[in-house]
Amino acid sequence: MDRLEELIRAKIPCPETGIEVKHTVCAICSPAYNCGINAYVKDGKLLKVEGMDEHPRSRGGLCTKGLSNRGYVYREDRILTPLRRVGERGEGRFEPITWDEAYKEISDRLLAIRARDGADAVAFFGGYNKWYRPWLRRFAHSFGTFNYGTESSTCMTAGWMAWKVAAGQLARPDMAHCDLYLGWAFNPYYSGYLNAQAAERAKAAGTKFIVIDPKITPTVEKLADLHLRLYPGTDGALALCMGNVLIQNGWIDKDFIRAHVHGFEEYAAYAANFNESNVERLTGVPYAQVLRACEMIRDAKSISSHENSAPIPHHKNGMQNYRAITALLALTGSFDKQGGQLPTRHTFTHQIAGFETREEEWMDATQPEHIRPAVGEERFPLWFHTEREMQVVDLARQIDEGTPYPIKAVFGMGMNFRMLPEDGYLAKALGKLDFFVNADLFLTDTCKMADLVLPVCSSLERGELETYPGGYAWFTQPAIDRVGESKSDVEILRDLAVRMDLGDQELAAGYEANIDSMLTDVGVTVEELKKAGVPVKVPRFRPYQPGTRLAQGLDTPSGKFELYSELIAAHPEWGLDPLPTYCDPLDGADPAQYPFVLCSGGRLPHAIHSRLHKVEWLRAMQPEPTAQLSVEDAQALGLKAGDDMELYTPRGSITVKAKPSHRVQKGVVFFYHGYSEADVNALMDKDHVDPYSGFPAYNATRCGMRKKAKP
Amino acid sequence: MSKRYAIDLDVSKCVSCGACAVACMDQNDLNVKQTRPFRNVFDMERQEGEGTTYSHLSLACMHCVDAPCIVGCPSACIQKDPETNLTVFDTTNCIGCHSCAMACPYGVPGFGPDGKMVKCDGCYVRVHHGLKPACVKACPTGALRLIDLDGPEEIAPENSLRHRSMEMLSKQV
Amino acid sequence: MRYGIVGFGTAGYHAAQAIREQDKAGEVHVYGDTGLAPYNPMLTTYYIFGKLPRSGLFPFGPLEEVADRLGLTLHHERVQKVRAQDLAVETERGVQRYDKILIATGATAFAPPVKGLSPQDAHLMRTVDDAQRLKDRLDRGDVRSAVVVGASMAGIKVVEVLEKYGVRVCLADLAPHIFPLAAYPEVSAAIEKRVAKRGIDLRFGATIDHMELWNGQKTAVMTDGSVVPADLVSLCIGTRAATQVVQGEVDIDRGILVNERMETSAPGVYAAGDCAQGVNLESGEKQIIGLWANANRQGAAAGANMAGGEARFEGNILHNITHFMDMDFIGFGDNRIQGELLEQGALDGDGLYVRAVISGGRVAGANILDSYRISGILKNYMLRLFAGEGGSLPDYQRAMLLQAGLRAEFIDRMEVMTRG
Repeated sequence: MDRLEELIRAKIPCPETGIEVKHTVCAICSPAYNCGINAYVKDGKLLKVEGMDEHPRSRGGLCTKGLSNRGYVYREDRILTPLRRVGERGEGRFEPITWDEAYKEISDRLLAIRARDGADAVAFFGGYNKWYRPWLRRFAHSFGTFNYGTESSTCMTAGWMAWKVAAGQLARPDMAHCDLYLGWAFNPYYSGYLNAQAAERAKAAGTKFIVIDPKITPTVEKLADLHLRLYPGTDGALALCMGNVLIQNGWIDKDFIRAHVHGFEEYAAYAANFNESNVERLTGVPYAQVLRACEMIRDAKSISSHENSAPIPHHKNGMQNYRAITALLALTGSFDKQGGQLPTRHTFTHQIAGFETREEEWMDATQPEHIRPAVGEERFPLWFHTEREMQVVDLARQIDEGTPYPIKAVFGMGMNFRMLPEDGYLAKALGKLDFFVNADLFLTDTCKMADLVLPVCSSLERGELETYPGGYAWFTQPAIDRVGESKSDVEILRDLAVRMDLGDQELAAGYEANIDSMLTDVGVTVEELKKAGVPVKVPRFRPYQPGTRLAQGLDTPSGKFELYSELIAAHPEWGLDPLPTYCDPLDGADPAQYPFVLCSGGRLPHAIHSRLHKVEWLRAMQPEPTAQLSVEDAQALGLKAGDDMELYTPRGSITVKAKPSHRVQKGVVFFYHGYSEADVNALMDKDHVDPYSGFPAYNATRCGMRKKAKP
Repeated sequence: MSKRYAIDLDVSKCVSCGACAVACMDQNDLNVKQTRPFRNVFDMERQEGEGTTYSHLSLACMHCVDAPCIVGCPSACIQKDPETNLTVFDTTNCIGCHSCAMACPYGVPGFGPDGKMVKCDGCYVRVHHGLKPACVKACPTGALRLIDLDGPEEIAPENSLRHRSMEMLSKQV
Repeated sequence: MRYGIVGFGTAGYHAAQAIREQDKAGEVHVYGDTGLAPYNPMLTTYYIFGKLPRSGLFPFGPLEEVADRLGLTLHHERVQKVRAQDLAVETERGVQRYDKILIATGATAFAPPVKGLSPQDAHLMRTVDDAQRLKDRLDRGDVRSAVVVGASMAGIKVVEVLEKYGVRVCLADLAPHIFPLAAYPEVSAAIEKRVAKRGIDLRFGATIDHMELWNGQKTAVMTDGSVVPADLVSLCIGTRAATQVVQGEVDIDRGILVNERMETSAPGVYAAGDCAQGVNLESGEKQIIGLWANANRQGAAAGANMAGGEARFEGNILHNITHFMDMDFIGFGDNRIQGELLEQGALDGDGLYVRAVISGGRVAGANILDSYRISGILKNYMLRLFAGEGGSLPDYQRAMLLQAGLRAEFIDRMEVMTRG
């Protein structure tokens, strides 16, 4: 091998090889990360990725998932052109059409439906990632409907709702300064390495960690000073018992409570129901450990608590459990205090960067008159009250039943019907639509249901605004050639807004102009950010001073941290409890027939949702859909590692591989979601949902398990 | 200036996330349908008496100082890179006899669809250019390191996979 | 210092290399009668098969390049005698004295004469010349049938070559089974089945007796009276250590006896490679273990010690990997030792099969079919047990074995049975 060959094979960026390194961004997981990528590129083609050293937040890092970007971007099923369905829905037979044909058809059909059935007859559904959401929301509004909803109908929002109810806005942990970190379902080694690095730094500096998790995760191994191993969905009972123990022992901040907490007496009286007599029965955690945890809280100068998107919210009692957890911060005076939980707001596309843009104002500038209830509004009134968008969990029902009014068309961007419980119901409902469009990178099972499919590009193929904690902003540039004729989601929305003549000049002006208007108060322009090339601190960034919000009074009816929600109390017709009351997390199936608890909440380091299951490199890490069950249950069922087993509920059964593990407690089985061939959501009950948030109870469904007989 | 490098794992820091393996696949254009990944990631548990111990591993070529595969290869395809002392290979004359696999006490050598040996080459060309091996660059917990064998100890011996396997390696012929 | 190396195969090469690492200035004189660079006898069949070019037989490069690289003085002459007392090497041209001498003369193939077999139809398989001769003969295209005598690793590779040339092959051995020195009879039987399935005529308990001409066809008459057409006969019966040059000078059994420093009984005279008889770590006895890696290790140790270093090569166990006809056969240790049996996989199925015999808390021997992946770790485990270590696998080895398909039950059982 000669020298040049060697350089090319090793992908060395240098003039001889013609390989350049370009900065871009990973958008595979949540915009709360958006790690920087150094893309090795030649002739517009991506040859390799690695972490971007010049990035102030990710500092050269990328996780398992982000490192697979080349496999993701060039996945075999990338859509290359707009497609029109020629076969039956779901069959997957399409013909390529031009963008112009696609736009014309979408425009004609949606406008016709609006003319005939009203704007609300069209639902706008945003999947993952989140970068285009302000545009899709505004588009729906400009079209004339509140029926815009997203994947966040089942992810994270319930936690924010809990905070909005308690404190009027979100909050986040100040881990870097806390004495004790309450790691509720905290496993950043699998789902956020930057958090893991931060936790390791905090631990080295003396922070103690209590990890509350049903599983023995790497986080439990590496970080936990105390592990509370509860059963899935019993976090509320545990948190209430902790609150009770703190109150009974006087380990609370009475001055703080007097000054800033509303509903303490009611809360204390209710929490007294959770005590030594029942906590182990309810949660699986021995009382002695609860006491130990409370002693650690007593001894800590400051505590903060992990915010999480799915593990706590994905229960039928999820939002209430979340409230019960946040109550501990109020009791101990840890809210809005250094080393505690700091109130905050989103900066842009769900990133919290420590400065405010005009994103919210921009995306809601064209809200229509609210006449008919949005999808899910009647069923989940608190949801609509705080979020002002449809709760997609109710979409299938409304399409199917046509009440309170029919939905005739769905315009999806990255929509995936498999994300919903008992997802066959939504798939069937989609079949009833007059018109269904989906835009995606890949020809997914959902795309196969659509009448028209639009190819979108990845974050490596477009430019976009990113923001990062610490006051950073960045405007990326495309690093590689676009695959096929794909366009960015926002370009599609702009083109359609123009074509449909929605009369929204801002949408028609395009992404960069929109960003400039959102950045008005930030003191920086798109042009300047582009020139910088890397994330830079925005000129008007001022770090938050803890205590500011409390001094101003919180944005709740009482102006205080509400353990007793006056918002909920003011709406008895909602049928919700003002206190963070607790109920059993499981569904009504017969425990004799379905003796196990199925939890799809255990994460894999190499998967997020379904989007990476078809990336071969990642799939190689665990080629077969595999359930983790306890060693005890495996023995009782005669299951060995690698055996085929069935998971079943009254809705059906799926076949998966068994992986007995001591990481899992007896009676529980963990199985990851999003596999077309073993779709765990098909086993879920569409009505087993949280009445507060509408969130599906993905993490606690009664199920059966059995060894699959060899054919 | 030639150095003596090896890639070592701090087992106390590894969490079996697999980032190293994926970075390696990307770097080496690995077709996983045809070729076994060079990096093997394990999330292990073992019950001993009442307790269970959990351990994590990322294992690829250890770039042994006295590499049994080099001695075992009948065609001398495997060699030490003079600049880095990483164990590299030129399989032009590989006959696919699997002798290197029989020599390796870590079970590392694999074979491509052409029947020829493939394994981690330590990204030695990247190292020549001042870059880290792809896996080391990727490791989010700092568990994988390119270590200078003649430099100060970077990983505590009790946590170093290299140290922990030295006695074992000394018995291999 | 003046070093003399007699014989320049891989042992001699590794010795020269080790000398050079410690002594840049000393004179290294290398004696060889082939005029060829060090070559690997194991590669000869790969060359004929077409998997390697002729240059591929010489892993370390052409002779001049090797000599240049290592600063060697080459003597292309036949050594008649090495006089141990005065450290002298005698050739036709005269006598040279050295400070240290290495005997690395290797081994030669031997075959008893076969009555009626014309010399041009008789083939051995050891040297580059042997390979070239057979290749030239096969390339002529007139060989339609052949008998290979010796169901050894070399024999089967010759069969594979002949098969590739479309030759009708009969493989015969007086032993009852294929690979009699490495395989357990059950494993042999399975291999034989697979080989026979490819149309190879296998005959055991018989060898060639003599050749006759039948209707113009050269025909082998076997010791059991049967007859086989044979345009050529390949004799893969065995090798013998080449010890003539030190006959009467140092202690010789089957090979030149050496200690772990590769010293012979005569001070200053070392031996390494296929001519040397070192320690079998399993039996503790001295035995020739004629393997490439063994020769390399011995040569390197000898060279280091000759140059004043301190190197030991404790010994080895019998081990073999043969990749042929799309299968792997791996044999470790002494296949004659009886003991408790550990087995996984089916002999007729595809995929991993392993059979280990445990005796006295050691793995006395093992056969593996179709899984090179577990071979290095299993061999290491055997070696560690023979070295007196307690039986347990470190987690990384265990994990790799499991990944390669060895079952936890097998590993657990093996550990229990070998736990001191």
